Amino acid sequence: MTMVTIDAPTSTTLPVAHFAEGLVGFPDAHDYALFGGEGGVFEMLPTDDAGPGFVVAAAAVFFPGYHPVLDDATAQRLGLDDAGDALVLTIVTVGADVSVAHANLLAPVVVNTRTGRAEQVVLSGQDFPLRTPLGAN
Amino acid sequence: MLVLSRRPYESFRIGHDVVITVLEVNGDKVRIGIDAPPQVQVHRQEIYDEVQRANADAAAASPSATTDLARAVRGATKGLPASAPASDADAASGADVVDGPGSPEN
Repeated sequence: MTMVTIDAPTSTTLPVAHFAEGLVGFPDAHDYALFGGEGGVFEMLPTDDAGPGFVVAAAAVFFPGYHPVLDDATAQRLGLDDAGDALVLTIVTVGADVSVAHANLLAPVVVNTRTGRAEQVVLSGQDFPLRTPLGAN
Repeated sequence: MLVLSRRPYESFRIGHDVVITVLEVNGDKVRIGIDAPPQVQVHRQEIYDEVQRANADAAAASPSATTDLARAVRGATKGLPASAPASDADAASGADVVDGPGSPEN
């Protein structure tokens, strides 16, 4: 399934994102709420204290040419029948200076905006970079 | 670590529903086929490690990072579109074959 570009929603329109397997390296936190959304930047915070929070950026806003392909098994795990239900978020690493921010295009977070089911998808064979400047300069 | 010897086209099974098959041994490269249910994710170890490190770095950001970042990006230029082409590589169909890093698909 090829991800299409959709308008970035704001946090008020999004369900809590449920990660059945947690994030890579952070398996204990499963439920994250998304806050903000203005300018395509969200704060993704666990609903309990089971893990750290992350800054995520809507791929549609920052990387409109980015169209990762989900394999069938991933689409099935996320319950995604329609690419239009998928919100693709890139996890952002913010440096000491906020003008130095990098997005992870290799392993985006994909949220089924209809159900809240979410996963950090490690994209294999698509040559997307682990660290790409967010362009916040 | 459990250590088993296998010849090409011999398999072993992990649990009830994961089957690992040695497909080919060629010099220092081994091709492995993995049959697993869709809920089981399969990753190349070194890629998984890299993503884990990147997540740990991202998690270290200060709580106010979002606000600062949102302010910084407001009105700033958009990021460059990723140039890598999307493909159906590694799309699951039957046994998934995982190659070593950087090795070309046959």
